[in-house]
Amino acid sequence: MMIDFSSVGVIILAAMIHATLQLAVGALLLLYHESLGKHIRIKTKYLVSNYITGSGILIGLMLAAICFGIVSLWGRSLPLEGLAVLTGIMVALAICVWFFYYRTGRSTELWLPKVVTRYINRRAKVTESNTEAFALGLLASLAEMPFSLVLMIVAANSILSLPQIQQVAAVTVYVLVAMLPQMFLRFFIRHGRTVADVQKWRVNNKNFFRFLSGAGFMILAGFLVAFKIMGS
Amino acid sequence: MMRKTKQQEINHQKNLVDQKKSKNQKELVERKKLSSAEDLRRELKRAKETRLVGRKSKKTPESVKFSKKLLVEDILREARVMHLRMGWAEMIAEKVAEAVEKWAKTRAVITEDDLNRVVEMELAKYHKDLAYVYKNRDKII
Repeated sequence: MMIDFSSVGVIILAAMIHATLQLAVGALLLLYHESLGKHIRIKTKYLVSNYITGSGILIGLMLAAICFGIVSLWGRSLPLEGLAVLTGIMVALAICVWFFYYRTGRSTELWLPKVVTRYINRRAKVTESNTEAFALGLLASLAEMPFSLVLMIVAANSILSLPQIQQVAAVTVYVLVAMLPQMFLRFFIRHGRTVADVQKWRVNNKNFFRFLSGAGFMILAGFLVAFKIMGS
Repeated sequence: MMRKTKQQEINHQKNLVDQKKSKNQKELVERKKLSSAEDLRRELKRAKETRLVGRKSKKTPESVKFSKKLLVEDILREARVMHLRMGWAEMIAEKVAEAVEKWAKTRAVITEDDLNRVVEMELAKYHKDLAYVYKNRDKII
């Protein structure tokens, strides 16, 4: 059974870039903040677990749906023109991340539409049940789609080039890698760190994440050109 | 002849009175129309201001009365986020709220930003992380 390393590389790189996006992590921290102020810790634990599950399930299902869409529309993988368009979009997204994704100042506020931010804030404040937390996870992942959709299309295209048994594993790996920051956040807060510690760390490393996300998009674009467009 | 002219004059005067009456009535109707149009215009303007029709009005800041009780509740909520002991948190909240109330009493009007800044400053005297969380509570995403 041959493993296509360039495809695996693209999948992992796309998942890592997905992990550097800050909306889902920010919404989770907001949920922590609101829930710890109102509920006992065990309730917060369940809410957070449901949030992470909701977010992970949406990413997994979206990835599977995109794979199905590509197979239905183009057969095995995207045409070269499609890959070229994706490369262009990724370069544009890299520029967006570098210059517009974060607001200026000592905070981790993002350049999202005000309506979306207000809605997520309101939902995090009123989340009381596990179902609501699950839905908030779905919502946060959905709100991240303008950036993550391209990554998922690129990853789905690479997943389809793998043998069938490895495809399920690849989807799982993508979801797990993309969910790593949320799982780490849960781990650290469960083991004594406070919301203030995490927020301070996020603010201090904001520029690093900005650089990392943008550079990731650029590298993935270069990777696609080198291995998928020129190499085919 | 004289009678005829008198009759004519009377008729003429009657006509004049009738004309005046009808003119007055017409004017009245016109005025009513105008006033109803004016009313309609005023209603539309009011509707626009209250965001019922047309473009949105400019946002005017809401004025809220300062409440020590609400401030104490806010601080206690943030203290629970920081896993502080409730006895200590209550003491901090009371002291900060008293100081902020004293500050607020010296001013006729205060803005929310000013209030937040003063609360953060007072909180920082007792617990820096609590002050940080209070300050950044709406700046996470």
